Parts: sequence; C-alpha cells; structure tokens
Amino acid sequence: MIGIAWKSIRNRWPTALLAVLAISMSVALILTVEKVRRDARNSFTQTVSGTDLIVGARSGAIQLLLYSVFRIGNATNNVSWESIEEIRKRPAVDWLIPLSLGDSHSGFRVLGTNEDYFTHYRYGKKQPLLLASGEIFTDVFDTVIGSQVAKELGYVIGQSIVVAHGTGSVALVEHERQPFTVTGILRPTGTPVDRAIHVSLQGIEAMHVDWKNGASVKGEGTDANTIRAMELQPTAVTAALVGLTSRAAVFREQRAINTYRAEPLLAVLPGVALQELWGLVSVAEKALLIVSICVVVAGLVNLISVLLAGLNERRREMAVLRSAGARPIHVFLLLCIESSVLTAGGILLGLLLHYGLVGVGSVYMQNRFGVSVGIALPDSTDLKILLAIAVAGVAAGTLPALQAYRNSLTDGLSQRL
Amino acid sequence: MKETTDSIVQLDHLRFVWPGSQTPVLNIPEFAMGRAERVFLKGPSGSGKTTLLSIIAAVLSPQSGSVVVDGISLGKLRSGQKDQFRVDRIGLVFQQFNLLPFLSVRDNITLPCRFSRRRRSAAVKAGSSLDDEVDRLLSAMHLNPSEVQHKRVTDLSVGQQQRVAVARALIGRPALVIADEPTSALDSDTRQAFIDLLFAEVNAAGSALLFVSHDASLAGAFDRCMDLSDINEAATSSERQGDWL
Repeated sequence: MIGIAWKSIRNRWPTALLAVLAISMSVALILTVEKVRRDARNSFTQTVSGTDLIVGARSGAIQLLLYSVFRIGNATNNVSWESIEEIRKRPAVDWLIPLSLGDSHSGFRVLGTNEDYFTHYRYGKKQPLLLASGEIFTDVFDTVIGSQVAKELGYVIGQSIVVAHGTGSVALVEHERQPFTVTGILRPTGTPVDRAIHVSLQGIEAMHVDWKNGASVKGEGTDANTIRAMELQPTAVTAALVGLTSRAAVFREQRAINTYRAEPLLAVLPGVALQELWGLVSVAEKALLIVSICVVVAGLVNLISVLLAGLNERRREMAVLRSAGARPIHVFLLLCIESSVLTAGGILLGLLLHYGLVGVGSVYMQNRFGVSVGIALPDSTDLKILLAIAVAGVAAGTLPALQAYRNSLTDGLSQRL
Repeated sequence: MKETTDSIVQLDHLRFVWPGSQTPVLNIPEFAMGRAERVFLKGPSGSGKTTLLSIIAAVLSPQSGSVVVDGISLGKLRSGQKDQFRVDRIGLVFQQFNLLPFLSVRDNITLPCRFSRRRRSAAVKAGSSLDDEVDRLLSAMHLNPSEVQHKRVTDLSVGQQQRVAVARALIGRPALVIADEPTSALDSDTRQAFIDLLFAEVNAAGSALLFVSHDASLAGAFDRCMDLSDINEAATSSERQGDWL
C-alpha cells in the first residue's frame, strides 16, 4: 500500500508539493517563533549573572534593566557620584560596577566603567569576561572593545577611534578632538558586552571636557595631555551593578537604596526585573504563538482541501483499485498514507527551512539585538510541537480518507457499475 | 468453499430492483455457465447487462434468488468476504480506464496479487516467479515486456491498455473473467485481434469468460451466444422504463 501511495503522490507532485510547502512553512514558522522566544529569554537571562542589584535613577524596573544591562533605550536620569560612593561604602556591598552610557561609535554603544567591570561582571553561568588580546584600559584614552565590535569594524589593538555623542547609528557630533586607542579585545560572550566599547569613567569625562551645555565649544580644543593632567572625577553615572557579600542581604539593601533620602534611586533584582519583562512581552509572545498556530491550521486545512479536491478526479482511480481487488479499507488506508507522507514531508522540509531561517536570522538577531540564537537539535518542546503537527496532519488526512472510503462503497467497482 | 458444482455461475430465481424503482431490471428464473465456458452476452444499452455482471461480481446484491459463483453462494457473504471472493476468483476488464495512471504496466498487472494471496500463489505457480508470469502474459498479449513494463500506462495506446487490462484480469488464473464491453473503445481492426488474444489466454488459464457487448459481430467464436432478453423475463419492462444509469 505504501508503494502505491508513494507512486500516487509522485504522479500528483505539483499539488502534493504545494501541500508539503504549506505544512513546511507553518512548521518552520512555529518552530522559529518558539526558538526565538526561548533563545531571546535565554540570552537575556544569560546576560547578567552574579549581579545582586541593579541601581539607577528612579524609573521603572524594566526600563532600568533594559538600558543598564541590555543597552536598549536610554536612561531618564543619572545617579550622582556621591550616591554611588555611599552605596559602595555599605558593609553588605561586596563590589560595585559603575556604568556610564550615552555615547557611541559607529552604532556601538560606549560604556564608561572601571576595572571592577572586568573583575566582577559575570554572564551566562557565572563566567567572567576574558580578553582575547591586549589588556584592560589603563590610560584615559584607552578602550576595550567587544568581540562583535572588533569583528564588524575590523579593529585591532592600537586602532584609533573617535567617539560620537548620542547613541544613534549615524552620529552628528563627534568627539574628534579626543581620539581613543583600542588596547584590548574581549572574547565573545553572546551578550551585549560583545557590542560595547568600554572606556574608563575618566575617558567619558575627558571626551566631554570641551563640551558645555550639550554642545561642543568652538576652538582648538584641549589637547590630550592637558586632559590627562586634569582631575576627571565623574559627577554622575547612568547606573551601577552591585554585588553583595551575602545574597541574604539583598532585600534589605534593595530597600535601603530605594528609600535613600539624598536622591531618588531605584534598585532592582535582575531576576525579578526579568520576570516583569517576561510578563510584559508574554502578550506579544502569545499573539505570535496564536498566529503561528493559525498558520499551522491553515497548512492542515490546505492539506485536507488538496486531498478532498483530488478525490473527485480520483474516483475513477479508486474504482480501478477496487476492481483490482482493493477493499474500501485499502482505499481509506491509501489516502491516510498519502496524507501522512505529505505531513511527514512537510515536517522535514519545515525543519530544514527552520534551520535555514535560524542560520540567516541569528546573524541579524545578534547584530540588531545582541540576542544569540543558536542552531541546535530540536529539543523536547520542539519535538512535542512536531508530534502535535504530525498527529494533526494524520488526523486531518482521515477526513478525505473517510470520504474516499464512502465514495468507494457507493461507487463500487467502476464509475459505471 | 467447496467447488462441487460443474457450473462456474449458477443463477436461480434472481430478481433485482433498483432502489426507488417499482419494476425489476432483472428477473432471471435460471441461468448457468459451465467451467471454462465462453459466453457472449448481448443486449441493448440499459437492458441490465452491467447490472447482471455486478451481481455476479458480488458488487450488487439481488433482492431475491440465489447466486452461486465458483461454488460460493454470494448471498451468504459479508461485504469483506465479497471483496475477497471477487479478487480471488474473478478477473475484470472494463470498457476503458482499467489501469492506474500512476503505476507502471508491471505494477498494474500485479495489482490483484497484492490483495489476493490465492491469485499471487497461482501466478507464481504458473510462471517460475511473479515477474516471469507478467512477462509471459505480456508476451501472450503481444506486448514486448522489456519495452512496455516500465512505461507509464498513459503512454500506451488504448488497444495496448486494454491488453494490459486483460493481462491483469488473467494473472493468477481466476476462475471467471468478466469483460464488460472491453472492445468498444477499440477500432474495428483491432477488435478481432483483441478477442483472439483474450480467448487464447482464457483457454490457457482455464478460466470461464463472460463477455458482454452490444456488438453481435464478435459473437462468432464464443461457445455460446445469448441475448439477455432470452433469460431475463423483466427485459421488456426495463426497456420501457428507460435508462437508469
């Protein structure tokens, strides 16, 4: 029966191919949506690890998380250096990484921080940042760049770069008087770190020395050595990552920072903020999932319609089969096998399509959002989805098969008999 | 499943009425056909020829009377058994569209062997293998096996298609071959040649042949030639009733 079914499909390959394509598209879509959803979550979750609190100006927890760690959006306000120092002095605070954002280079964000960033920042499974080459900045005009920055811009150690004010990919005002030098390149992490240009906090101050009221002062500008000699203590930073000596203290410290009197501050637990973020995006995720399911249903409906539409012109074939000894149950099986083969073909092609999409899309996702989407074998969720589609496809196939069964009962052996 | 009678087909007080109709199409008090007998059955369109064939092939069930084919009383069979009976014991050839377009000539011929172990083992016994038997049948039908066996059915001429259909009807040597106007799609030159080939192979297989046609000119070589109206007492009334097809 399987041989007959296969030959029958081959004979009708244009319509069969359409049915397979429809199913494969739906399979690819639902798998890819599921994959991006999970990998985005993973990627976000992997970005901060080991940080107990994120501190910033008072705004929303999600906003703080997004701009401080994921470099999405901008801060509404800064945190004064005094407050940062106050927090650092708290006994429960083990380490504190100041983060100063707001400048960019060729579309990559410039992050002002200090050496603590390289000693205490952790991503993924508490992995530290490692240098691929060079060393951590020591001079005001030194920079350490992420792997993606180096790769995309083709930068090597010793490269001189000019930083622009603002964070658009096309910057209008550049700090061309104070060029920076690349002294270190980080290993890939699969996090937004790869897309950051790290400079010291003093570096951030240095490039703004000649700036007053948000505009560049006309003239020759201060030369680099004069700037090096200046006292470049930052007055404010954008946010800070805080590590505590004991995790048990986290809620007490959070409350202390949130109720800090000198300045309205916000401290959030990265995990809690992430949960809030998921709560927010889950609506969109669900909508996307529903659309994907609809596409799957459309694919299956198409399968049914292709088979049903074929039935009328195939009545004669069925009659021939019957006259050659096939029973109605054989006719039923034939159609079931056909729909199963088409579904299986659709699933296989869909998987290939999915891998193609992921392969192409992962580059874009990494560049655009710093989200790493890796190609992996289908996991248990994927397999469940595929199984559900397979079952639905086979079940859908029984509809035309039943119709063919009924036809063959009433038609008998020949269209005329 | 005893095969004690000498007749391959034995009809007794057969009466068949189409659903929704008052007058019977068939009312046959008695009809018998011997083993290996070749019977030519003629009659105008709508006289119930095809209906009679359907009853003998256990596709339709008569309202009353008994039908015994190859020693099997059809009235006692359940529908699954009827299917098995048909593929085991009857080879069918229709006017046209006998073949599955998506199967090769060889696959078309061996199709009954897929559904009937009886036909399969008989076919294997007749040749030394199933393939041999297909080759033999093709050659007997004046088709070159190496040339046509892997051809698409749709690439054959109508005459060739009908000969392939005969090969399929005969594979595994069914006790009875029923041919329903198999020549009406052929031109007059090839008709007689077709009949000759059919006869030769039916003889070789030892099958009985029930051949239906409205073309009386073909009747010459048959053992017996009869008009359906000779045995069908309902003939006149059904003709008046018009076409039920």
